[in-house]
Amino acid sequence: MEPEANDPLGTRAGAAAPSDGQLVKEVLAGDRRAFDQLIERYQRQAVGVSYRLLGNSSDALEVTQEAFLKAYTSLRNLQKGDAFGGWLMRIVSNLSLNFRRGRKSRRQLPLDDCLGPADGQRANGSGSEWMARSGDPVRNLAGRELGDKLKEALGKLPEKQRMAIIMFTIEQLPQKQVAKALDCSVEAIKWHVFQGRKKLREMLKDYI
Amino acid sequence: MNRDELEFLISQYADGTLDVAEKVALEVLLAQDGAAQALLDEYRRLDGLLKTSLPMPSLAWDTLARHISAAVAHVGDEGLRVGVAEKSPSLRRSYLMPWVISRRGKLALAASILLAVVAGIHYLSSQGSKPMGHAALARLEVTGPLAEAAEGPAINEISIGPALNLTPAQANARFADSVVSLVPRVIIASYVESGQDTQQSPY
Repeated sequence: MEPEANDPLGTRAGAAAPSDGQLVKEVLAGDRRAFDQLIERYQRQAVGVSYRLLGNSSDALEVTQEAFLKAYTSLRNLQKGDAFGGWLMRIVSNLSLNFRRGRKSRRQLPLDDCLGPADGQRANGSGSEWMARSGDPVRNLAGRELGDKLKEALGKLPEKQRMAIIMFTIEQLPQKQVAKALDCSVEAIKWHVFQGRKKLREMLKDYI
Repeated sequence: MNRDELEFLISQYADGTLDVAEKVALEVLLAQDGAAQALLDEYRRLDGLLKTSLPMPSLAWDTLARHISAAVAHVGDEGLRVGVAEKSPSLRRSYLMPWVISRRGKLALAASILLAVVAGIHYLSSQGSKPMGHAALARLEVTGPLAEAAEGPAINEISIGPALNLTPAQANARFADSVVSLVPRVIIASYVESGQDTQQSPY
């Protein structure tokens, strides 16, 4: 059921695609272009996790860029190159959690041009961007309310449960990668997902 | 199997992470237990809600990848060496404090020290004959309860115990020991004549 650990989004063109471990070796040997492949492979996951934790695409982009920079400058600390994905997600989640605590660094490059037109307009707003994507005002309102409820319910979960739900259930990352990101066992991830799911079911019983 | 264990199995079944044997056993149970099946349905609806109700914004992924790549290139090989520096103190020092080893840095450091010395001399000379160390750096006022002021000379003798003019024959003499330990009033550092009122019975 799980996607391949090193290619969770199926971004590889074929069997010839190098593994994460090979790419990491190449980067450490001085080939920075190999890191570009890692960026392409994991940027969606990184933005997805950060966006679900922060609820704001502009912040998520900033955190994602910072996470890749941190990963690049700390690459020699990575013991197993094939664990790059989980390791990167740990960096993303830590930076996202720290972002709101005021530890964010200054932006390296402007990123607003990465957002779609509607997202670019919302990037300066302070509210949640979740939901309300359709043009139907009734659906927009219902969607916004549901999105807010989901965000609120997720925010009430203990950190590990929230991260496990976001990474495994919403982003559908492999359990091994989530375990690496949260620095615990696969069995612990299953338990965190279960506990988080139980609480969400209780909090969202009027919507399911 | 208690209810919590069953729910945990159902949660894993919804995720598709049970092994074959557990899956088959649970499917048999689900066919017989309506409540368990209802819980599975709720978990599936919840997962569907989470997956569909929190959509990602539309992003220009290629542009983002280029931005990140450019940022990494900006950091460049020097940035990658930071990782090496964590294992190599000399490299860490050269990365974190490049001004210490570069010629331009040495010149800047020397100029800074010279400026500081000149500024210090100028400051000291502007102080004239004012002795060093007496300049008030800060003034701190502390307010609080005032100490009691004495209204007369302090007595130099304090007496605690039964009055000397009491005799054993007197009625309260038998309480003398108690009087010593249960002093009704002791006045210290007062101008009044006696430290203890010996004219009244403590009782």
